[in-house]
Formats: sequence, C-alpha cells, structure tokens
Amino acid sequence: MYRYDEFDAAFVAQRAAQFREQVRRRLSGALTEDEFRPLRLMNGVYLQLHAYMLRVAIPYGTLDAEQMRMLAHVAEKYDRGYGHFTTRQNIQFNWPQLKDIPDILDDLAGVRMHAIQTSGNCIRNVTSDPLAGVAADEIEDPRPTAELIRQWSSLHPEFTFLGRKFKIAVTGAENDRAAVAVHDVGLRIVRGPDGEIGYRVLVGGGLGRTPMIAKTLREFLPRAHLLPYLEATLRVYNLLGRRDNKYKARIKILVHEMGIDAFRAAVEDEFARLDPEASAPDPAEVARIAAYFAPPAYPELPDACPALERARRAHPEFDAWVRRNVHPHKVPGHAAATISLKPIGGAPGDATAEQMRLMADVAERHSMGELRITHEQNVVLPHLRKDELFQVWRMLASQGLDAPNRGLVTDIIACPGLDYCALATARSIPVAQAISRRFADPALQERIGPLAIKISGCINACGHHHVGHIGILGLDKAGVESYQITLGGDPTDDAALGERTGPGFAFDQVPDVVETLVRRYLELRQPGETFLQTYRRLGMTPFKEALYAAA
Amino acid sequence: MAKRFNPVVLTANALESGAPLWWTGAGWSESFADARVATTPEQAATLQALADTPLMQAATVGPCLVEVVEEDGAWRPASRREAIRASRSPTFAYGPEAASRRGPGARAA
Amino acid sequence: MPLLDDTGFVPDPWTRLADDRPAPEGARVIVSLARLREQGPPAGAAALGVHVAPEDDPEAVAEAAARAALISVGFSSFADGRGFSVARRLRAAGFAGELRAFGPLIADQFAALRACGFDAVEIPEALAARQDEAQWLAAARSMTLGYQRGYALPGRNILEARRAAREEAAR
Repeated sequence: MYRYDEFDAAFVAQRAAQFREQVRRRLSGALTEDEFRPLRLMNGVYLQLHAYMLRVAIPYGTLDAEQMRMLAHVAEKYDRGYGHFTTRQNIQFNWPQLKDIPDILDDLAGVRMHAIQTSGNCIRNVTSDPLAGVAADEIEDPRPTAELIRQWSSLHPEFTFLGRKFKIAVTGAENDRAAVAVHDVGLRIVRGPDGEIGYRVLVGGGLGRTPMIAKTLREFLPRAHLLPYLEATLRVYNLLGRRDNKYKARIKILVHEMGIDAFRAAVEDEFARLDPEASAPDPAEVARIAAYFAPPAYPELPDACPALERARRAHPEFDAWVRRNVHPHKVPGHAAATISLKPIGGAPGDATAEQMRLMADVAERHSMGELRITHEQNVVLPHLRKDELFQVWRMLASQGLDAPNRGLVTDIIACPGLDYCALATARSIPVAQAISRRFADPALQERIGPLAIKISGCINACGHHHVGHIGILGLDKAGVESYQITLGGDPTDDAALGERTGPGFAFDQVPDVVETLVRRYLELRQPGETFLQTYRRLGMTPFKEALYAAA
Repeated sequence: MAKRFNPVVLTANALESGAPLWWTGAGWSESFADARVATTPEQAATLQALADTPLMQAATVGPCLVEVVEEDGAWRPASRREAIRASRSPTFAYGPEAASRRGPGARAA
Repeated sequence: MPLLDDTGFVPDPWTRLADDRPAPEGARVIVSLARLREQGPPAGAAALGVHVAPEDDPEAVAEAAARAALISVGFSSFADGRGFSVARRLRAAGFAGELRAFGPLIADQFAALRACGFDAVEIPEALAARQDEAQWLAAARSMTLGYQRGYALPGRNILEARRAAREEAAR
C-alpha cells in the first residue's frame, strides 16, 4: 500500500487547516453560502435533508486496518455509529455537524486520509479494480497509476473549477472490474507494439441523465506521457465544455457534440503544444510510488488445501459463502474474499462502527492488514490464506457480515435516495430492502445465479441503474414515487446501457416486478445461462409481456 | 387562472449543525410541530420576505417556503421529501439499531 | 475596481476604456479585444492592455498578446474556471507581460490564479469589502506545498523536493 511521506502528510494537514479556516470564515459571514458551497463540496461536505454529509476519500478503494478503525472512530464520535460505503469506493457519514468537520479532518489526516475532491466540479477520487494486485488476469497493478493521478489531481490549480465533476477510473486487468467505460476518462493498462506498458485512453463515458459509453481517445499512450496527456485533455474540456447548462456540462456531452475525431484532434493539438518533460513526473518518482505496491511477502503454500475442503464439507453455509464470495488469487494457497455489506433487509453499503472494527481485526489477523472497497458497495479482503478462510468466515459471521450473496439478486446497489439525499426524487434503500427480503432464501438466490440489481433515487444515477442487469430508477410523478425499470445494462467489458421496459411502477409493486422478471428468466433460460445472457438472446419482448400482460 | 394558494411554512437548515429548522413566528425550532403556518398569500409573502433578508441567508442555509396540508386537524408537509425531512429520520431503522435488530445471522431468511 | 497582487491591495496604474472613448494622452489603457481588432491600438496611449473573455477565439487572443503589455482575463463568476486555462495557454505561448484576472473571484482562488500565471486580481468593491486584504493574503499562503509540475505553486513543489532528496541521498 502507498504510505505518505513527510510531504504528503504535510499537504493533507495543511488542507485540513485550510478548510478549518474556510469554515470559520463561513460562520463569520466573510463567505456567503454561495461562495462556501463549492469550497465545502470540493472537500466532500454536502448539506442533505437531515444534516451535513461528509464523504471521505478511500483512494482507489484501498485502505488498511488502522484507517478502517479511524472510520469507526469517526462514526462513533461524530456521527451515529455507522457509515455508508459508496459506489465510488468512498465512505459517507450522514450526520456530522459542520463545526465538527475540521476536527474530523484532523483525525483522518492522522491516518493518511482526507476528503479532498470527493465532490465538486473538480477531478474526483480516482477509482480502480478492487482486486488490484491480486487478480490472476492482471497485466499490471493499476494502483501506482491511480496514486500518481491522485497526487497530480490534488488541488490542481487549473482544474478545480471545471464545468462539472470529472471522474477517472483505471484498470490493469483483462476483465474490467472498474467500469472504465462509464467514466469521464477511463484508462486501461495495455501492452504496446513492443511489449512495453502503456494506456488505452477512453473518454466521454458516464451515467447520469445522458448515459454514454466512452470512446477511444488514444489507442496507446506511453506511460511517461500520462499526466501531460491528461493535462491536455482536461484543458480542452475546461475551455470548450459547456457552461450554459449543468446537465450538459460533462465531458461526454462535449465529446458527443464535437464528435470523437474533432475532440481527439483538439487534445492532440494541445498535447503537441506541451512540453511533456516539464509536467511529467520523473521515472524515479514513478518507480518510488510503484515500489509501495510491490506484492507482500506471501508464505509459500501448496495450492490445494485439504483443511478448507474438510471445512466446506462439514459446514454447508461456509461452503455457500466460499462458492459465492471467494475469488481466485494469483499466489498459490491464497484467496481474496468479498465481505458482503448486503445482509437481507439491510441498507446496501452501510456498516456500523463495530462492524468496521471487526473488519479491521480480520484484515490485521488474516489479510496482511489490507482491505478494499468495491463499487458494488462491498469490502474485499485481498490476501487471505486458504487454510484460514474458515476462521475468517466465523469472525465475519459474528457481526452479520457473512451474507453469501456476492453478485446475486440480493447484492443490490442503491444510492441513499430520498431518505437522505437532497437531490433525490424517490426512495431507493427501502426498495432494495423489500427486494432483498423477497429473495431472502439463499438456495433461491443461488438457483437464480448472477443478477445485478441497481437502484437510483433520481436521474443523476448514483445507483448506476443504467448498467444494472435490472436497473430501477425512482422518479416523482405528480407527487407520487414511480419506478422505471431497465433491462440488460452491463458495466463490464461488453459495456451496455439498459433498455426501458415501459411505464413505471408504484413503490409497493417493485418487488413483484422483479419477481415477475426473475420467474420469466427461470422459465426461459437455457442450461447455464445467466439473466443477462438470456436477455441478450431473447431481447425485451418476453420480459415486457410478463410485466404488462396482466395490466 | 391564478394558482390556488396553498398554506406554507418557512424552513431552512441550521448553519452549524445542518439540522432542519422551522420558523415559529418568533424564532427557529427543530420541531415541525412548532412551525407557524401562513394560511393567506399575505402571510406567505411576509415569510418569503423574511427568508430573503441577508441576515436570514447568513444565519441559516437555504431558507425557503414549503407547502403544508391539513389532515385530521394537524398540519403536515405536502411532499414526501418534506415529510421525511420533518420526521428527522430516514423511513427505516438505520445504523447500530438496525444491525442489532437483524442480529448476527444475516444469512437467515 | 480594487486590485490585488501578492502584496495586497495596490493602486491601479491602468484605465479601462469603454469602446467609444478615446485614450487619455500618455495613459496605460485596457481595451476590449473587439475594439483592438476593429480599431487597432488607441492613439496616444502609453501602454496597451487588452481584455479578453474565455470564449474569445484563441488565435485572436494570441495575436493581441503579441501586441499588449497587459492581458485582462474575464471571469463571469468565481465558478467559471475557464480563465485558469486561458492564462496557462498564454504563459505557455510565451506571454511575458502582466496577466490580470478580472471578475467576482474569491480569496480562496488567489493561490491557484497565481499558480496559473496571473499577476494580479481585480474584484468588485462589494466583494473586497467582505473579504479584506488579510483574508486574501492568508488564503494565498494557506498551502505551501503542491504536486503539479510546471505551475507557479506557492511554496515547495513536492515532486521537486523529492527529487532533491533523492539526489542528496545519492551523493
């Protein structure tokens, strides 16, 4: 994991002190709310329905046990004993007071954490593959690249008052687990013609009210040109992106309106005017960062693990958890495991302080002190020994963290929705809870197989409904919540946006709607076929008939 | 045809804590039940003028009027959003309380 | 309007000239880009400044920069960050004259403005009354470290500092 040096530590401490001063000036009246709003947003502070909300960055989703314990401390001391892990690998606290936030930031700075650029019209927290560094299909660990971008984008003097937010995602694996095609800029680590490592640069993807799949900006970018090329891309966006309408201000609209070829020409022209040497980090700096992500010292173990097999046979519930939540690891005798934050009937992504402390303990004892947050709002233990999986599972079970449902119908993504969020038009967490209860039976979930349900409480799509196999979008129709259903969305390599089934449904109908869709799929599927595959084979018609025939 | 007048209350969020506030006629309260309801356009205009004063803008965040309706002799916010806000809680149990209700057996149906 | 540089509020030796007004003899004047293109530099002025907007054609801005001793870059609001990139481009293209940011900018942006190449900021009276000189100077110095190479950051550049430390260690 990356460790701050004295400069990183001083930078974050200064930023916390700067925000303390900004809060003081707001409370004194020197700053109006209009002036303070962008300043607080670019430090992760929102005002929601019931309270302020603080979003803390977990850069590229990686954190250590000490940091997880600090999150638990913040939850208990300044909030109501819990936090909410988000689809952007961050954590949100729902109840802090503005006057306490400077103290929270000081506490976080003590463990190398911050809230810098977790909101606002700036370059946001960089996201990445939760299995970075351990996945068997990896070309290169994406985290050194993500860390380089984190540092470069922090308080960037030129790109802090952009037309709109700007999200960058990086993946280094064959299988894209970072949804790079739905980001403003997506980076895929690839090998060039001579085998050297570089990037395929995608641009103009995004969800929100105008969902778009990213287009290729540069087929192969040499590693040394990454930051200068990002600078050129951001400058073109900053100068030419629309500012007349906030819903048309993302880079995807600019790329769409200019056309990818004209946009590419503008970026290449800007890039040609730059001196890459003047803005790129020197190779020694890149190497310094990369060294922090060197694989830990794994013990040498045989890959086969009789103890694990015995435990699986003896404990069917453990066996189910291993089947669903444990991932292959590139080192023999090891595994990575997903801690599901989707217990039946729970609020997706929520964890109590007690649960956070337990996860920290498990990580310390069994996962070399390391944890990851996934964009599915779960947690990953990346470095487990296979022969310790049973102990890990027992520890997790003691706090209700053992749901064996990763990737299944109850592993639902949901935004906070109208229960918390000032922008929402409908509730989303209670919809997720009702669906989760409907499909509570683990055997039924396993029979249904992989199925990603994603719920957003407004058109801004924080719940990623466009890329859900079943997407649910809550709207307000004349004062009544109405839920639109989309089918066939997919954020992975074959990225696709879901298609609308037809008229929306009432709040109470949604679990029935999902059940009807699932039943239809079970009737129609061929052996081994997932929901998404069946949908792709047969299209919308049979599902639409099932939903609307009775009406 | 002019829009029918709906009764309103003045609300905002507290600057320091962020908590929802309602104007009682004499000051702010954290309880919706204390809100002074403007039942005529003239009263509503007075509240709006109050919301627009620089002092109010500086001391709270986002002061604005929201519609209320009368039900069984009591006022309640007209929209679901404002009803949730006035309840000062999400519509479900959350945090440690919700977790302890579920108990450790998350897997159980 | 009040003018600030890194020493605080300073007198403004330049006069902004409406498009239909002649230049006072021997004055330092700032004219609009449109006026410069239509009428050329005003007769009698001692020095030429040009005010540009972020949406102005970059070629025309570059041409003006070649003739002007001062460029004033307009910001429609503090949230309109295009001017930062306009300044960067001008400096990268070799403009060595005075660069001034013009508009309702706030103290918290002072350091970033200077890092992108601005020398001074001209702000509305009301804003200057609410955010005094002390706030501007304090905000400009609240961060003394930064990561970006190629920008005039206040204080130390972290990447350069690390490089120096590496070289020191290698010696």
